[in-house]
Amino acid sequence: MQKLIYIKSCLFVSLLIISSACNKDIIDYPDPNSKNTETYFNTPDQIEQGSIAIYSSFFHNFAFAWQLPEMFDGLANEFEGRPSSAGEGDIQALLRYQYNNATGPITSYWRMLYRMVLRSNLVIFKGNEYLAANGDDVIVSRALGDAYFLRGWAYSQLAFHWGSVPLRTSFVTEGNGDAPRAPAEAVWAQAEADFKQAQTLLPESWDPEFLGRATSGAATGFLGKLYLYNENYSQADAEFAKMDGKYSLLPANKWDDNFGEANENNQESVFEIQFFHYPGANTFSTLFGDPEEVGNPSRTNGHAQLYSWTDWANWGFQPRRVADFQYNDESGSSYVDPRAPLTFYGGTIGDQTWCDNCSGGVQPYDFAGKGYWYRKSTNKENRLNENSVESGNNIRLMRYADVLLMRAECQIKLGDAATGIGFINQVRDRIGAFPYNEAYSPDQAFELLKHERQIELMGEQIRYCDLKRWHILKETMNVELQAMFGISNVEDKHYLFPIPQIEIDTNKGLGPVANNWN
Amino acid sequence: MYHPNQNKCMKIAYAMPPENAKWRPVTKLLLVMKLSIILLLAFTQVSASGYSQTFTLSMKKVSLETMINEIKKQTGYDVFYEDGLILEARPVDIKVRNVEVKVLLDIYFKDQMLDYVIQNKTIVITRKKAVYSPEINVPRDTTRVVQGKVMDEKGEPLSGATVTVPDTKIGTSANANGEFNLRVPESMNKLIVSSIAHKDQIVQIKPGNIIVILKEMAAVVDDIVVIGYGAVKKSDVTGAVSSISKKDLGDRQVSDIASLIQGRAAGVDVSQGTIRIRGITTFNNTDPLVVIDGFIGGNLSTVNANDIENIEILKDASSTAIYGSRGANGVILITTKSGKAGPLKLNLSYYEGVSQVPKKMELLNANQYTDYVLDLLENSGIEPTPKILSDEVRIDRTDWQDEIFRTGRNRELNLDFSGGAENVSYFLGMGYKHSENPTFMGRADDNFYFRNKNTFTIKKWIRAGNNFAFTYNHFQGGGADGNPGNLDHTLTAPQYFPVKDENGNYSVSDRNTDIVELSNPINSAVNNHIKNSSINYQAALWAEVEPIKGLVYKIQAGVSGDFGRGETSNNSYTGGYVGNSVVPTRLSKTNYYSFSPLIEQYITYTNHFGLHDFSVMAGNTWQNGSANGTVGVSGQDLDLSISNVLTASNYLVTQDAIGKYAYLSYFGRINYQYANKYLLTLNIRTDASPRFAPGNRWGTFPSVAVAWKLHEEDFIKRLNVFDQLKLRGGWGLSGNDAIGEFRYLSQVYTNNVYYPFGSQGTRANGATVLNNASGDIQWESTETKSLGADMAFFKNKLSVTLDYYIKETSDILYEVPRASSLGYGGTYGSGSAIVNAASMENKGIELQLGYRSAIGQVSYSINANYTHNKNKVTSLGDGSYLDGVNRTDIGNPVGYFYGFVADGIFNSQKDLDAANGEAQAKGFTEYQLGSTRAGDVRFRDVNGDGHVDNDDRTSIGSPHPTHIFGVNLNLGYKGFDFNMFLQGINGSSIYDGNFDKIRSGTLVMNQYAYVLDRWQSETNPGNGIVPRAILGDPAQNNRASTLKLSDGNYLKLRQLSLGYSLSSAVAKRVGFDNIRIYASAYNYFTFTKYKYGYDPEVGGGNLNRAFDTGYNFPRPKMLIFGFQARL
Repeated sequence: MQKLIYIKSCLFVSLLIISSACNKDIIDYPDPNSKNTETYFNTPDQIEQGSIAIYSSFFHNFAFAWQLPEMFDGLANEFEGRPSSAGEGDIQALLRYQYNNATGPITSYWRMLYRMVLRSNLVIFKGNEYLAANGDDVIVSRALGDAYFLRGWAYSQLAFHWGSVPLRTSFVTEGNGDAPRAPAEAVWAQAEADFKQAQTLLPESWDPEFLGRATSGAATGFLGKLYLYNENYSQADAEFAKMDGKYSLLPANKWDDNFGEANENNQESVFEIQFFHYPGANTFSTLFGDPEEVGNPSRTNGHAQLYSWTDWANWGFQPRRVADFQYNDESGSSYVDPRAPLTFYGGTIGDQTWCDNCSGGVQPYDFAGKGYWYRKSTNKENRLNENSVESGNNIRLMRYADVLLMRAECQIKLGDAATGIGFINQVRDRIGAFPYNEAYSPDQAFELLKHERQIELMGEQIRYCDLKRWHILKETMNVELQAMFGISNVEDKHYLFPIPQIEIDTNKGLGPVANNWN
Repeated sequence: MYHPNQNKCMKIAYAMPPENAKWRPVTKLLLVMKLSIILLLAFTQVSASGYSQTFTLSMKKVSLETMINEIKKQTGYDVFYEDGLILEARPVDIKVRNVEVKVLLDIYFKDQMLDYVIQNKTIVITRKKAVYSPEINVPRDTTRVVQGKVMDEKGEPLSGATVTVPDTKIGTSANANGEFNLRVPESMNKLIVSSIAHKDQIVQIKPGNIIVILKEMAAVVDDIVVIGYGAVKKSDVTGAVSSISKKDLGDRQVSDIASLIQGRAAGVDVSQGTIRIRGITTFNNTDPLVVIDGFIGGNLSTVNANDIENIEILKDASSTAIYGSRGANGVILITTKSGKAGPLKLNLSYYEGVSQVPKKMELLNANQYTDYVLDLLENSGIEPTPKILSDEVRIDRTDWQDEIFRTGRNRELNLDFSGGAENVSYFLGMGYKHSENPTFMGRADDNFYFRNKNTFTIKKWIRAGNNFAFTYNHFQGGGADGNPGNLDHTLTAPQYFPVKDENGNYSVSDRNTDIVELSNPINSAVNNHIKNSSINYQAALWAEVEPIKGLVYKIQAGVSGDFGRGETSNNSYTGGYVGNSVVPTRLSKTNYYSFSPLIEQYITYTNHFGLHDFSVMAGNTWQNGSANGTVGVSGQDLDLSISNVLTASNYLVTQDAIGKYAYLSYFGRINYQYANKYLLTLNIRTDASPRFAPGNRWGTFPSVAVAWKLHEEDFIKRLNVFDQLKLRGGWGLSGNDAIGEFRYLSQVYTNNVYYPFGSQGTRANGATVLNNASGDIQWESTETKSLGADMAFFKNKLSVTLDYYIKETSDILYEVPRASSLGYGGTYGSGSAIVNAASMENKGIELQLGYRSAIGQVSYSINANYTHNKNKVTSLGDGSYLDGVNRTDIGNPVGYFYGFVADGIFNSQKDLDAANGEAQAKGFTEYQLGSTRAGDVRFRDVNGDGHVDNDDRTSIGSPHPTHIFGVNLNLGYKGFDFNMFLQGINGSSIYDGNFDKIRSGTLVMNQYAYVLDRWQSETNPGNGIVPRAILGDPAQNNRASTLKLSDGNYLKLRQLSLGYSLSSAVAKRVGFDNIRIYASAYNYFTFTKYKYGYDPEVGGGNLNRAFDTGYNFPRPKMLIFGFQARL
């Protein structure tokens, strides 16, 4: 009996060992959390999701939801740091041209742009793979259009702000991604090619569910801008001309619709970054964490909060800019541009009341107590404050007034000052400023254009780029910095941003970076 | 879980001297010795009086023979006497009930010619001295009288030593002078002489006085050491294993098991809860594998520290290879208490204590702060506000540290009972622990522990058991993370703010007038709440059958896991994290669980023939269906008294993560021993991990170890120096797969990826990739070569263990940062590719010393351990890895500090111009930066090229201690016991990661008093080290540099306790076997030069160690009073 038990138990033991030994497939199971690039992006809908993700890059931490408007407006001296901004070390350094290759917003911008490139490359790779295998598909084509457009935009920014940078045009699933810097011309050329692709692939307009998505017109506008920035005026003008009749300026009484939450993506809008305030979402998460990471679906814009005296009160309207709105008319009389009270509060020519549309009624503006503050892009006519960060204002990356002025610039640079002035007058007419009627030389016209761009586009992150491409950044800013801070430290190197330290540290194949700058 | 092999080896241990086993029940003697030593160590006072066994007898005319039989039957005592002696006894009437043996014997021998001696559980019956003279005692013709004297090595007589004749019942005991007389048959020519705590000696009978000198016995009984899937005698260990038993820990009250181990074992480096065994062997997870009662991968939080019997730390590959893929970081084996055969025992302990923050940081007062801010604003070209210029802000109103730090309460109650009978043993333990963080509204933890552990012997050849552990934890507190002080806010809040304003509201700052952003730490503590409840469980059943003698099959199956619920919420209040905006009411909840089943089975065959002892083991591990998950929801604008997210006006799912894991392994071992001198151990394990692509999953990890017990060799014995001398050597491979799941695939990422189109913010969902695939990755392996020696001297009073090791990890799964321009990464990182690229080497020496002795009535023991470890990266794919300031590259220790060398400051424009002039002469535009001004830090031109740039960064310090040590001192005097425990490290630096915020002078926030020494003007240059105050740090004074580096050495008096055990008579009077009361102080003294944080024990990851973020909550100092009682 005992023996039998022994035999049985031995049998039992061997069976168990054998049975578990056979069960080798227990370690084969799929990832319960996510698909992978082999098993995903294989249908039109999935490829389109890939293109939506490219847009989502605008919300990269510290990018457009917060610091990039500050960075560009600061670099152009379009605002004044108020005491509350004392803690904003990075922006304070940018204001004074004391930034370096580790300064936050510059690094964030670089990262945001390359995130766009990566996500575009994925869609371009998977989209073309799909089309090759399955033939035409309208959803895939428009997703490809998004990808080419946004990659083109990203590379045009990289080329303009950094010059020679790594050029990545394919989606690679493995490896470190070490890559050398391509010549700036090659980067510009890639952007040009991408915009051209996008022009053919993108639709002219979108249904409401996709309102704000890139259009063929947007591709045209940015392609024209690319030519302009490269001083290729005739090609630029040819592109801008294609936009004739498809876009128009808003009437003067709708001026605020260019900067607020109402009537976004309107007739004047060429391309906007879409923001939205979902009631209830933790609005800070867009600012202080990558919203894709922090698990909160906020997509709000910190601009209004940062530029308003009832909120964070960081950046007041730059008092030195007030004079830009006071100039002589053609008769030599002093003239106050009607855009002054639309752009800022305070002083004698700025807006004298605020909260015009608030439920609590109009409030007089206490200039003595507050000084100058921006009106543009804040919501100060509509509500007392942003409470937390509640602004859903889209950021207009290009609006038609800018296109008209760029077109004017092309004509002036091509020698046709009169036609150029005509485009400037379109912009002036809309707001009720007097038209320029006299005959101007191209140089004179160019000066008028520069001034017109300054006041029409103030606080829209454009002046810095203009000063740069007109090659007058150093002399212009040194004068202003000297007057404000007693420093004049803008050097030639400031025409380009420094290559971020993180790129030097992580990209082993980058090649030399002179003086830790560029 | 119960280890059958442990028991097996106990048998081996106790059956040591076989030659006279028939005659002397050595087993029992040793058992008693072991018990008494345990008692000695547990209560420091030996209760010498009284045998616990009692005797009941009621009989008339009892013969001595009957008596002896009754005593043997009722108490298990052995009785020795000279042949025929018992016939000399007269019968006696006995009527006793529950008396001790001694009482009974006294009654019986009162009027006899005979006397008796009790030596432990041995009774020796002799003739009474008076009649014991040759004149009266005429020798019988077949016997002779043998006489002699028994002494110890110092020549002191050993009274009561037993002298017996082998294989007979003939014996006697030595008198007070150590002398003995014994009648021995002529045919017998040997005596065995023994005395408690001495080695037995066999002597040849010779004419004349026989002088017997007995050697003192080892004070340490050969302990059993648990190793993977088995146990061996300590003397037979071939690998590097450190043991920490309950008795080594004294009254240590700890928050986690890591703290329990800290400073107790050589080769183990513990810092802020991170355990590293023999250095950092990988860039990835270096946590050692934890095995609780044989349950692999157990959860330490299920273990009540009070339930721990023993902790074994397997350090070298020859001992860890049996855990193969998971053994590279070392293995911690935890054995919990078990019931032992015998009557029920009950342990009760309780303490009550208080905890406090160990120190306060020195900050600017309001006046100093205001001066600082004015200086800062002036240097930065910003007009101060009227409020900053007023005297109102120069008044100290609040010391925020005083407001936030409070006294925490701590208490713990533990109760366990255990016991056993022939077929069953049981242990049931319960504990309750309450601990409070010493801050205002601080986190308070309540823990409830339960453990039940039983063993059943069903038949002689089949045994089974269970081990269930269950832990409930609940904590709650104020503040966002349960540390409401939110230390950085406490430190950076200016002291001119009151806690509450005149209206009774928590004061907030106004950005327009105060400039500073005050996040009132009290406000945030009161309005933020955190609450968490969790249940951890580990339940296992096991069975073992021994169908043939020596062949044991064991199977154990169990589950471990947890359930938990976390909740954070905040009231609607003004003065949130940013600005003074109104924070809406919010409630977030997470629910999580994990479930991990495990089946392990193995067969062991043990046998011996001749001088060959061997044991062969083979088995497998099967772990399928391990799962875990977390779901989070969050709601806003709701009534917190309801606490249901569904009642919120808006809510959303914030998290849903699913984990799955499976494991398959086969393992085997051969132990071979020849002549109890030469030992060999061979291990092998092969594992499959789902973390790699199908082709790369299997890894095989072999090891070999040899040992030579030199003290068993005659030529060593003759030296008379070593009580123990064992040499050990081993080689082995172990592995690591501690990377994330599915990294071999390029994963799709959709979480919160969307874009809000149109006027309604229509969400279009997006999808993208999270990371590139790392398809080729496979096991990393660690090869250890280890040499060691175990020595004991001076009758085992001094024990020394010395180890030397070389640990080389290759194919380290190295997260190579991808180029940032590849577009991966979140907010700061750049994403990474995993490659098997790097290799690293750790070389070290470990020394463990123990000494125990006594001076008069004061017994003492000192245990000290020392570790020296040197880490070096030996290869690294392509180039270096920089993670902030910690850099990893070839030839340097992992994560060393890399940065600039600060060379004082430029005191004047003249100094600066001179430096720039020299740089310009060499063709550079400036020495440092165009924005450098007088008062900025001058950094050293390390490479001497004439100016300072990134190429001038260099190694500025190491985060790794070179020397780690711990010293534990125990003293005992009568009922008193005293313990002192010191621990320290030397040779490491700390990087002040909070520098920018708290002492850089670049922000409008309160600062450390350090900034008082800043440069303010050429004529007021401060201490020449601290630069000027300036917003935005234009001259990059805050760059990683020696300015931020501090000496990280420390020596901590971690524990100081004093206890008193009531004498057993007193204890008995109140119904206990033993009562001890004690007081202990923890972390009361720290000797360090580190000034910029609360605690020089900083911790950190492998690649960024000793980076003090400043938010580490300081380890509190604690004072407790408690008692322990046994029934």
